[in-house]
Amino acid sequence: MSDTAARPTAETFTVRERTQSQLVLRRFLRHRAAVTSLVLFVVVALFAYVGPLLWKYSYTDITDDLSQPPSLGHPFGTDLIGHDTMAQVMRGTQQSLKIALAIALIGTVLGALWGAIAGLYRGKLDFLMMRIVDVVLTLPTIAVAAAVAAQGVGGSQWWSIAVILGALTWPYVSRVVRGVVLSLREQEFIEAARALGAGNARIILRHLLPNALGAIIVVATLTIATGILGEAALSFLGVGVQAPDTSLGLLVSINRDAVNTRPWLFYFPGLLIILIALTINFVGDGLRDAFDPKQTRVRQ
Amino acid sequence: MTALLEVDDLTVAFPTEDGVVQAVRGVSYQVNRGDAVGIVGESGSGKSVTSMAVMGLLPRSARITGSIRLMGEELLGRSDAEMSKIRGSKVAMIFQDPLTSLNPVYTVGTQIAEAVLAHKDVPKSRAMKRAVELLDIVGIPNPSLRVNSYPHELSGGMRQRIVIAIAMANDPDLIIADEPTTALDVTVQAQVLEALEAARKATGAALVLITHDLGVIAGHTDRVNVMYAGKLVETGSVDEIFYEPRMPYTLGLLGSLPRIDESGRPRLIPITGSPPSLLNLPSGCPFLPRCPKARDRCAEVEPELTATTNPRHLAACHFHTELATATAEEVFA
Amino acid sequence: MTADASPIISVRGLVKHFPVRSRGVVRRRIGDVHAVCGVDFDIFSHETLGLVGESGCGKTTTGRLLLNLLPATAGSVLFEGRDIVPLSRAQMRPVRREMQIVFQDPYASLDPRMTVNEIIAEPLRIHGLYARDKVRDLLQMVGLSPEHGNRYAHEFSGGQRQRIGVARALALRPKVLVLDEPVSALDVSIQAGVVNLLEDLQDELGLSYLFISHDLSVVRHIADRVAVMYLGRIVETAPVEDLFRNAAHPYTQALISAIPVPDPRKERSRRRILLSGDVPSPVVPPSGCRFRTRCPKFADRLSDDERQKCTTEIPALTARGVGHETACHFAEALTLI
Repeated sequence: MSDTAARPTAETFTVRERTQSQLVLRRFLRHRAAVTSLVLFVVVALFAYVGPLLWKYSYTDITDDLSQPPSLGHPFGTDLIGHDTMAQVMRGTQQSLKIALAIALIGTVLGALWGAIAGLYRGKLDFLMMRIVDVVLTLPTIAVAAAVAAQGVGGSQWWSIAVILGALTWPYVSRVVRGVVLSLREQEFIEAARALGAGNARIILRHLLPNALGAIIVVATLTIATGILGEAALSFLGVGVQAPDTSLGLLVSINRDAVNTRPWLFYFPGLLIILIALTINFVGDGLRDAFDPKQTRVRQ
Repeated sequence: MTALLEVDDLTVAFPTEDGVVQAVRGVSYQVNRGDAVGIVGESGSGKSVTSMAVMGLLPRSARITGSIRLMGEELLGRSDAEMSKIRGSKVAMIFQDPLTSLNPVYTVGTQIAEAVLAHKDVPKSRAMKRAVELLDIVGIPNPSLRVNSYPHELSGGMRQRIVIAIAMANDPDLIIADEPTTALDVTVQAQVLEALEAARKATGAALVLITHDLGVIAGHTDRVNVMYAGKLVETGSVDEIFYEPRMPYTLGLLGSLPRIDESGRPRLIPITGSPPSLLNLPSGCPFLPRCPKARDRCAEVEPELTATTNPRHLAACHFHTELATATAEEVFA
Repeated sequence: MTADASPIISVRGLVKHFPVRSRGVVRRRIGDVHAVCGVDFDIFSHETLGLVGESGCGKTTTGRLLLNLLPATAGSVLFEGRDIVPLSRAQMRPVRREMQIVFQDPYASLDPRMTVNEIIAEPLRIHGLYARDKVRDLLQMVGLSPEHGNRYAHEFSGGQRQRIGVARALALRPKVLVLDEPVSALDVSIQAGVVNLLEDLQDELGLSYLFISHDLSVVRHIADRVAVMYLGRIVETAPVEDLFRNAAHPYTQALISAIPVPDPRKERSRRRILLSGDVPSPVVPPSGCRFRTRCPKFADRLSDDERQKCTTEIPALTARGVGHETACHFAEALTLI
């Protein structure tokens, strides 16, 4: 896409064109909320993954300080039996992020392939596939996930939560990808590939999915945010991550009675859930704008 | 007598992410009453932008300098409201895509009548009657029936003729047609050009015809302006431009055309390379990288339009005298 | 072209109908777009057949049918004597090496996510023939520098992109190339270079072209023979010089006379045959001769009996000289340029 192609009066200009990725990066960097969010998110990720290496306590350590409010020694305070809350929140963030990313990965790969196949084949197969999507979408995600998780398939393993939630989020992705593929498949370069003798697998993997990448990245980002909240909800219900391991959802759950007495135990993990979900949503917004060529505008 | 339209040293620049695009770089030309002037050039030459500037239709981000005078009155710097009064009454414009100029929810009769009523205080029934007359002039069959049609019920060629009828509604002094037939098939193009001629005859309006099609220019204009890289590079009567071009670009353009009226011509003569980017144009002649006649001087100084043998035939080439008898084969082969 | 040689492509009775469906949940078939109706033509080795007509006449559909990119409703396309219409996608794959296509829009026909090298390598990879040198050679063959192979297509100008499209089509060394308006989207000064390239490649590689275009000037320049289509049917076919000198079908005549000539004196004195009205809907094409609703001869010069014939009887392509056939009951040759 040329920088100016979206504007009828300017399309006649020969502007040196940049690669798609450079354009996207430029537009993304102009989105202030998204850039700030990305920085915040990176800080949170460093806190979760690098933090434990530097911090003097591990999340399993039991200290002698019981129920301490935040202090220099324990910035997030301690709980009833002496766990350092910051170490616990670090571990919890780690686990929550890992699960959320896995959910996004599973949901995106499944959804993108599903959507691409439905969009490319059209007709009866498309109809059937999209009705399945409709059915899955009508399921109350958390209730179903809780019911399946309670069956103890995979027990308290983090990946079992990711698989269950991933299996429930892909329909969103598939709808978006199908929409993009429906317009892409009418483009001449797809017909050109057919004329060269390319099969459907090649057309999907080499042409359709790479060209739908922008949309896929955006929806994948938003799926991470859904994943964070989904994991939190399951753990809150007691069917997610199990003690002695921990996650942000679990921390909020076990400390919910302490809201009034020892608020630091509840608010720090809660705050992180909100922070991650919000920043990722903003980053997703920024990416969507960056990938959307209609967003190009001339500096006034 | 002052000219109907005088464009003087017009420049238009668009700030973009990459820098400033110099779309029009000092264009001057005149259109006299009743004249038919063609502006020819390839995409990116600035031919459309020039006319959009005349109509005051450029986006706000455009930086415009110079002067555009219509019957002696300056148009640049006027407010949108003032320009709307001029548009449609004194100057009418016809665009490439008729669908964008027509409102899909009104009948074509209503839209033509609307155009009449916008600038004249006449009863509505009189305006509708005028609409039927106008449809007849542009060659729409059964005009009294067709006034009740909606744009989507009509073909592309019919729609373009409706647009021409709207343009004629107030007897404008000037009609600007920007690629009016580019989207149409040849047989329909012939119909629409016929309608445009009829409209000119009926109103006596001058015509500025912008197109990349040299055949259309040859048949429908008296004077021709050739644009390249935001500048006029040659201007003269239609015969001078086609039979005695004095700018290598014009010569090359004519030589690169396959012609339906010539058989057995062995080979087309392409102009190598492509037009320059209008961002950071280098100094010197913008046609230099594609010009087989280029010399040192061309890289140093950008040639201005200068008179050739005839003071009304100007070319922007340092060596235009050498082209007096040249053919495209000699220059480009 | 030799008269006794057997054609490389032979199209017989080709028909394509597209269903028109009603709106709503149950999309009933309420009619057919008669896009191509019984088209016959041959393409000989090392020959260019120009297929001309206006938008909606079925010329692009014909090109797609020739490559089996669309399933034909009826008829056959013989490639070197073998009918390819009934072939499955897998069976078509080896045939695809022999027949390729260049598209009109050099912006839409190249995958924006691929580099030029990848685009040109794709046909080679699909058919297991990839070699790095071949891609270099192909780029050089179409006049592009191999150093530019790592760039993305959008960094090139329209003319260069169309050359990339030609290189891709030639990668498999096909015998037949369908050129679907290959220069219509290009600026005039660029067009000539691509036309010359196509001519050179034809000489070098002995290609046969089906050159689909609405632009009669380019067709006159490049084609050996021309077939004129109107509303799904071929109305006239002739060697190129014969067609332009002695056009006998009223539609061909109107088409030729409507093309503006870049020559002011000629243009001022030319005779124009203006058609009235618009192309009728291909869903309900006129009975008899499909051109009669716009035909100036039908409107002004025929008697009622003669008109009756046009209305009821479909005119067949009949010979009017060597290789010149016209589908008009009242054809008369006319020199227009």
